[in-house]
Amino acid sequence: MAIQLKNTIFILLLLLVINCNCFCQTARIDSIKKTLTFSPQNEKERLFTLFTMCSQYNSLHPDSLYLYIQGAKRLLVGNKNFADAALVAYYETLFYIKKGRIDTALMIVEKNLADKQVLALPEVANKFRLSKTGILIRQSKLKEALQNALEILHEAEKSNIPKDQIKAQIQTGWVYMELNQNNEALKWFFVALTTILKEDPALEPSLLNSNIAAVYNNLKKNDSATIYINRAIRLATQMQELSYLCNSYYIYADICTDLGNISKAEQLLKKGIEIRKKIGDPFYIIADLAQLGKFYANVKQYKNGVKTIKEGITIATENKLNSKLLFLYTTLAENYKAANDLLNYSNTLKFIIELKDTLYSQNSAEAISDLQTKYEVQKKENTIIKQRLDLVTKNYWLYGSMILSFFTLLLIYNLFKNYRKKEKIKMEFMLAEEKRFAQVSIKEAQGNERKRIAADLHDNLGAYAAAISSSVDYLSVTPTAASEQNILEELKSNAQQIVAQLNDTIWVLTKEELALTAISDRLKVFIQRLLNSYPTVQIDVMEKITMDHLLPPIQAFHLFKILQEGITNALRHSKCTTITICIESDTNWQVIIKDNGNGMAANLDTTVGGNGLQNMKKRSKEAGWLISWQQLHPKGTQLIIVATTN
Amino acid sequence: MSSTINSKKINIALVEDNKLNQHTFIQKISLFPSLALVFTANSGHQCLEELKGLPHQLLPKVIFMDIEMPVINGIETIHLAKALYPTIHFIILTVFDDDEKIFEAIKAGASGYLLKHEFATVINEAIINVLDYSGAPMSPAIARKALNLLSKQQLFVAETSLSSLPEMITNREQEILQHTINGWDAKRIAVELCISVLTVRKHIANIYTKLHVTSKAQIISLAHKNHWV
Repeated sequence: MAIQLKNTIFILLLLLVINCNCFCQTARIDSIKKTLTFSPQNEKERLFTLFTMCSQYNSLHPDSLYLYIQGAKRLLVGNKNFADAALVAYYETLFYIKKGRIDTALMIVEKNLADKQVLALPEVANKFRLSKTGILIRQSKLKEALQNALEILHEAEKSNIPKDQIKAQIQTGWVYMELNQNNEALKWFFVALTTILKEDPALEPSLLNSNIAAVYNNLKKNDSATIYINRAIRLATQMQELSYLCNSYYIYADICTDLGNISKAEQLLKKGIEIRKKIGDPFYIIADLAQLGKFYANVKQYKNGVKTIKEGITIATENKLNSKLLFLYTTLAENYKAANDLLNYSNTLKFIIELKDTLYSQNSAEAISDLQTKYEVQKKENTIIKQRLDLVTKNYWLYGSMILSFFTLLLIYNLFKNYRKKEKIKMEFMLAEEKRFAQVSIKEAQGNERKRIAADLHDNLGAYAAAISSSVDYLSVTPTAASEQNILEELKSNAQQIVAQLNDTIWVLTKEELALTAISDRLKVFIQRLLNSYPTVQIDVMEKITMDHLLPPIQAFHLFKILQEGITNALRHSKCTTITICIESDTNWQVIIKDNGNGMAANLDTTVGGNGLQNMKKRSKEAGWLISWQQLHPKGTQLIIVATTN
Repeated sequence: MSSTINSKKINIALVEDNKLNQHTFIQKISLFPSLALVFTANSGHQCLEELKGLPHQLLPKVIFMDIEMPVINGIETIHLAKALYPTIHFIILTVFDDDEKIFEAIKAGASGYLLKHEFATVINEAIINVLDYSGAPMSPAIARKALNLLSKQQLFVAETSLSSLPEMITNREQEILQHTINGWDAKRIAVELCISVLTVRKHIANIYTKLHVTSKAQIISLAHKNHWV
């Protein structure tokens, strides 16, 4: 409880100091600060918030970063969470780098990388490894830096951590950039970009784009450089990363200088310096001063250029940041040359040659290319091992499946063979019986159907065709005007009948079965055509169909013909004014045709052109139905067809 | 066959693969000077080609379409042509009245059907019916199928609570269909329901429209795939 109270008081004091001394560099930092100050949090939450603040190290002044680290350290007292302690150590490393105390930073890194507990946390271990690369580059130990970066890349690929793969690729490119091997640097930066696009475009850092821009600027491809630097500035602004934003301004200033846009270059440099003052880090201060020196050389402000460069050299020497010395002295030489100070120019050149020899012996090109080759070989070996493993696994599955399938098929075959033997004998007997029965049925059905079609065609179509033939014959022999007209009308009527009969026959022949409702609908069409000739008669069709019945084509045809005949008879002979056709269907069915005509005696004759009552009776008998006629009182006739089968 | 523009003439077309039937049809319509046959096609594909090449003022108002044709049948042709030329009316020509096929043709976009052996006066009357009333009088069989289909769709809409969909069939339309199933003509229905014959015909025209179910995207895609358009 006492410890907790102490920690809380410390945090509050810390925040008070920070608020007094610092201003909020970015909105994100401001937001985190407010959370620390005002939000009620327990220790775990407060620690998390402090880590979140430390992760903004790129935009924090080193002194502010230090205070937050101390805050986190106090909360960790008595806390046995190793991962949190390692993270605090990591941020301490970053603090020392920003302060320029890279030896101390390196010491912390080496200590943690020797700890097995750290190595057991791959993401934390990689943080230290990546920091080490940055330190080695600052010390100009480029060969070791490259080796470190390639090792991180190899581990990250094995562990499948895309974030760390990308950082390692960027660092590798950075080393080549420091070596002025621009094409190689560019290759690695684009490898990083490809990885980002493949894994998660949201991971794209501003740093990568500013590095690409710097390389293009070195290659004097300023159009491409401009595209990438604008992108870098946008991303750095979006992510509120002040250090990268500052770097981007400086690189952009260099591009503008090359393009002759001096005023813009100066603006950008001033902007960069303002930001740099807020966040410190001597490595970048030196780089900024070198940039500024180069700018002054270009704008012929030689005295300012020399003064700026000497300041940079002093800071680099004090902080042992040797990687920028070559660039500083080269820029110094440019200023002396442009100022026509030949003595100092030649002395500076001698110093540059000595410096190059020193750097070359540390970072020979052959050694560096050996490292890269070693990495490529290791990567290919990994791929081969993985492919071999896949192949072996596939082979096991393939052979295992084949053997299993073979035995399964063998078993099924034997079972099937036995079953077939038994069934064969049974089947042979049944088949023989069925065959015999089917042959008999087919023969009988075909015979009946042919007889029926022949009978219908003979009785109906044959009659009409004979009538047409007779009428044509008559026309050719006796050509008088009046009779011609009558004959022509008769011809027309007979032809119509042929077509109608054919139509009805085809209607049933094309269906496997017909519903009562379908027969009813066809009957209604027939009635509609008849009504033109009998305008004074009202004909209604009423359906009481609870369950529709399906009739085979022969029966459907019989029923239709019976109903046609019944209605035609009533119209022609009974002198009725109403006819009602009632179709009732439930489990069985019946059809009733009622008229209010003269009664049975008047319409017992056969009709011209049809088979009349005899035909109706014959059709009913053939279909297995009952047909009857009843006299109605006071007048009229009722025809009833009842299905007894179905 | 006249292809000149005459505002008093009604432009029609015939799609029929049988030469004899073509000749018979042309003979029948030659009795009516008010009808102008703009083209005769042997297949659905030829019909679509002919339509593509015609200027707007020469497009037929009514096309008589045989059902059974090779490559694409009459029903598929109507589907396609109705999607591309929605103002053209289609009347099915058939040897025998197969209700199933006729109903399919109506759903595809046909406005009526005729038997091939019908007299010239019946053909002329059918043209007047479709132009004046957007549909020929329905047979009881077709009316029955229409009522079954639209009632089922109405039930589906009610069960799935798709209230945003319009009503499939109104009560009045149901009444008219039921009377048509009973074999009544438009005049008798009008008397029974105390409305005009024109109103009855309009309701039937609405029912035709509801039946004209076309899947435009599918059929046009199919047409492009097979180079029918």
